[in-house]
Amino acid sequence: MHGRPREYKNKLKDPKAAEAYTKKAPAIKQGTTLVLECRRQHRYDQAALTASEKMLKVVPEIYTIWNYRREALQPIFAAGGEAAAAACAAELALTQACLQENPKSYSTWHHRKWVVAQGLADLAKELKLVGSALALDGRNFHAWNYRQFVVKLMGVHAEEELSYTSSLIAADFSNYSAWHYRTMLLPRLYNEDIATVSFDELMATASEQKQQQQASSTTAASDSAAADDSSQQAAAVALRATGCFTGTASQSRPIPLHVLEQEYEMVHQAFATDSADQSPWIYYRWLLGNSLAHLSQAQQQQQQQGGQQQQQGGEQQLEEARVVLGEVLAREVSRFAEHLAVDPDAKWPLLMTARLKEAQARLGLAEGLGLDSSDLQQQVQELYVRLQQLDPLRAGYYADAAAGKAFVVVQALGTV
Amino acid sequence: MATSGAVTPADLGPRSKLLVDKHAAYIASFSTVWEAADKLEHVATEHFWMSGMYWGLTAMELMGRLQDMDTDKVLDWVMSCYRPEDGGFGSSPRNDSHLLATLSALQILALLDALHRADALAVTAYIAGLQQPDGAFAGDKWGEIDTRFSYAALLGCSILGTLDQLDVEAAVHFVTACKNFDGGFGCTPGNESHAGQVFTCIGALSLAGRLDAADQDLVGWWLCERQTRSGGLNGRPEKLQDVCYSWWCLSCLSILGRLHWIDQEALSRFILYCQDEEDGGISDRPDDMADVYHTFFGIAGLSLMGHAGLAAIDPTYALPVKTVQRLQQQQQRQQQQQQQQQCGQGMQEGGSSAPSTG
Repeated sequence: MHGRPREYKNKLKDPKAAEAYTKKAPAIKQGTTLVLECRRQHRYDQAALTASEKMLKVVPEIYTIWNYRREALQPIFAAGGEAAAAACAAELALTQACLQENPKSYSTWHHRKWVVAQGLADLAKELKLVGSALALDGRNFHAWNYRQFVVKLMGVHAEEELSYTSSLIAADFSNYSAWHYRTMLLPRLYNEDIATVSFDELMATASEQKQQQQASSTTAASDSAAADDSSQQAAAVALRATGCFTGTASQSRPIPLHVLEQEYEMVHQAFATDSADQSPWIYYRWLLGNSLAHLSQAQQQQQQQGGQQQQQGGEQQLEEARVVLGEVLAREVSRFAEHLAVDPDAKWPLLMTARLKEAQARLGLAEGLGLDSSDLQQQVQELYVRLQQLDPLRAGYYADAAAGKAFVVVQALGTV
Repeated sequence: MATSGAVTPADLGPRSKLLVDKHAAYIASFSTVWEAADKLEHVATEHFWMSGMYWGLTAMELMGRLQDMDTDKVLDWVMSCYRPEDGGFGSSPRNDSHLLATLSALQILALLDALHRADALAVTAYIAGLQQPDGAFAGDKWGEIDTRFSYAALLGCSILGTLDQLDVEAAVHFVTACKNFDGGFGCTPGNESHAGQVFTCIGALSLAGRLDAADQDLVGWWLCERQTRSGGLNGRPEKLQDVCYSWWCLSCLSILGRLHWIDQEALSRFILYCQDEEDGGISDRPDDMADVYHTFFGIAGLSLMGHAGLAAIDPTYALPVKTVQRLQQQQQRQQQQQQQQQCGQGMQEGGSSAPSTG
């Protein structure tokens, strides 16, 4: 569907290719019929499962066949023991084979997650596997999604994942996915108290819940149904592990100033290496947002302390925060001035400069810079008007920005 | 070789205009896709036939060519995909129920003014049953979580007029938790922004009346940065332009009132350049193979930009504006009828408690 050249049509006019092509269609149709007929007869024997395997390797998106496999697997996982371990290995092998052909299949990745959530897989191996997938395609969001799932279950420390992103970025500044992941990790590492839940803890929670349920339940359940149920529950809880991994949406504090400095350094290296790539420039806006958040936090604190003895200290902190922010903004403006001295029509440094000056104007920092406030506003407008000429595709956005109707340098904190 | 820097030629030659007849014939050839036993692209896509039908039918309606489709047959086929045991629809009669297929089925029924054929209570219960404690929606009972499903659930119930049966506040909370540093949204909390997910999240927020939860300037800017030199839009930074993003990005910008932040003329020319002037249909990129998916999204994108000869499309429902207006009128009438019934009941009860005359 994506990226298939039209010459493919001509290829099919070749009789051999056409024959292979036409054979495939009935094979898929009949294969599906066979598997679903087995299911209708409640057949979950090896022959039926092998047929389903063959189908999935060709068309991994047939979600109904994955459903059929999971129905077959549920009692096996519930029973535990060697059979369960073998089943786990088989499913990991199958999904790996499918992913090699189609690394972006939603249903395949989900099945693998479901299998791993049964608690029998070697998570370190899973981490290695997803690392390989990302080495092949660093932007595969399915793989990134899976990585976060595994990392969560393993309890990998944010520090380790942060170095992972650093190495990816060092190898290729264009890896937007790695920059994005940093915005998830930095708040966790430096400020958030989100506990990483290990798989054992998840299993313990699940069996606790089950015990509570059984205690309050009045209906008797057979042993196998109870076992089935608890394995389902644990799987469900583990699958939900992905849902707990919030990032910037729940960021409640800006990342520390000294860390911000390191990040500014990092992006400037990226700018110097490849100034056309969007990734570090978009990341940069988030850094600015964090810088702004230090000021807005100090403002909040000062307001809360109003009227108390500590008012003096609060005001001092606020003034300090203002000075620090002012220095950062001014420094950044001069760094981009260096870029513009070499290439005066470079879009990204111009856009950053416009936004930095806009932030300075909005925060009332013009005076501190020895500028007239309206002069600063004028400069901002001129920059946006210039960008309309230099980047005409986005002229409409720049027009709104020039009119003060589109402001994106906002403090970075989340609301969730 | 396709690159993000590939320029769309000044002269589009045979592709300068929207080739409505060609596209209508192309789509009509899929009119009863379940009957086309031999074609590989039909057989190998059974897992999304329902969505394929929705894309094809809606594209035809936008072009004013719905009558070329066998809509009676289609309706019967859609209903044959309904599974009363759980209240959902499968992507085909023999595929299990799934939220995405259910949404597509409801969109088709709405388009063809046949919603009365659905058991609204049962389908609503199916959708509501997929909501998780944290507000997210699973795609089916096997638990895959994705903001696509949040959109499918909210839109499905909006079409049925039963949005109040979902925990909308929790749904919004989950969607908001998927918001990223760039103002965009990912498939689950912590995942990278992607235009398709941005659409489903902005769409969901719009349906919930909670667009305030989006950083509108920021995400609007991120979206307008998707436009490449070709005039086409990509789905993420440093990725290739693709016609389907003409919809995913454009509909968001439309919902956010920032359609003017991209160059519509350049995008229109890119979409037109992606047409297959020989066999009809639109492809992801110029000179690639066409498919119904890209044909629909290319036409939908052109419609959003007011392309002459196309009916208007609603950016949130991804259905013709006419369809959505009819839906809303029908729902209003239903509400009024319910209110009248309640009033009538109240009067009866009041009457019966009055003392009888001796």
